[in-house]
Amino acid sequence: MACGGGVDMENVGHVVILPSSHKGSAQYMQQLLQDSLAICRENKKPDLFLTMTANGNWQEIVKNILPGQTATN
Amino acid sequence: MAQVFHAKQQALLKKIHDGYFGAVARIVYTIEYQKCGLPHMHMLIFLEEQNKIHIVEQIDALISAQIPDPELHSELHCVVSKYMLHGPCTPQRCIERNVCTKHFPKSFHHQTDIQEDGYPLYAHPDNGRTIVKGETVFNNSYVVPHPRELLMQCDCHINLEVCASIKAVKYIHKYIYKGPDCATLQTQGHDEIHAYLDARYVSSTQACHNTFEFPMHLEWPAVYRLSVHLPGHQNVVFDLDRPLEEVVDSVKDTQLLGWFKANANPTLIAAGANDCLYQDFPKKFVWDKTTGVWKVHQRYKAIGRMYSIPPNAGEGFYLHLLLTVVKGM
Repeated sequence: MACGGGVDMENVGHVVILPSSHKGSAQYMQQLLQDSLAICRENKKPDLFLTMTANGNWQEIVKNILPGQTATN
Repeated sequence: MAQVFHAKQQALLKKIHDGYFGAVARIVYTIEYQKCGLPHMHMLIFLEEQNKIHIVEQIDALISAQIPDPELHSELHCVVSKYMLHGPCTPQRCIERNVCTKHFPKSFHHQTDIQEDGYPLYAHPDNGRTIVKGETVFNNSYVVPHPRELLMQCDCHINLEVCASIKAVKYIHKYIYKGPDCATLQTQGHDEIHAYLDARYVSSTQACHNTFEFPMHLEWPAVYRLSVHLPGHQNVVFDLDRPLEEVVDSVKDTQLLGWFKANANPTLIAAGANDCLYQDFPKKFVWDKTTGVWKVHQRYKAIGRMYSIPPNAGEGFYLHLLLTVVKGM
């Protein structure tokens, strides 16, 4: 940082690190990974891996949207 | 959308808890939202020892990777043709260097085999069954492995695979490596000054998901995080306006200090406190936050883990290491 270049050091701000209690922050994700590794320590490897996706044409959705709306509205 | 997905997902979870795959020891899941706003869930299931998957027949009972008989199982046939066919492969979707990145079409296999690395090769028999969608003809080699009944119940794409390694754990945490979803909006002014706004991208359905307080990630049973600190180095939260003496008097024991006291407490020793590592403590005892004391708890299945301490922290790191070995201090 060039102090002599007319930059006021008062205004450079400071680093803000979101705490791990803030959902979606990097620290929050880190803690979740650590939790999962703790589970692996305890239960060894997982047995099944399941992926489920949403379907925009589910009856429950199609019935409840207004004309012109899409499922993601 | 968020509500319907949540309801479907809870129904699926209940089915799994009720023993669809056998007795379940642990479940970890993560929900991700695509940019277009559609959610999907990745779930890892740990089965109890007696239900672990070892033989081909067990895999075949749970997972199918072929087109079902259109006459015998017409409903399943309809769902599989709607959701469980991969393709057609296009460069936009899955083709890189002229090969499908998801390795479709798979080679035909008459029966399921377990390979040497532990991963199974699912049965994709060459029995001549095909499904025609638009201009594309799909045979068994294009079918994504799926659980039959769950698929019919949920009426959406469900992929189920047996995992052989803990790499899947890394996969569901890929957002740690990817960082949160970002969108860079670029606005161009008349004087060619570019203004960039680097923002976190949250779609409207994801916003609803968060507003309803549905979980994005869940571990069942819970993992309990335990404090580790050197003497007198614990975090203390207090109000700046309060007098210092009052703050000092009101400081409660941390979990670690509580653990030392529990190991000297005859009632807890009788319950097995001295035979338990600090990180295994939450299996038998429960931490009472308000009083700052460990208490006996019979049914609790939680597992504990200490907050990690980097090796360059010196004494704190050594304490962390010692606590993973020494019982009953």
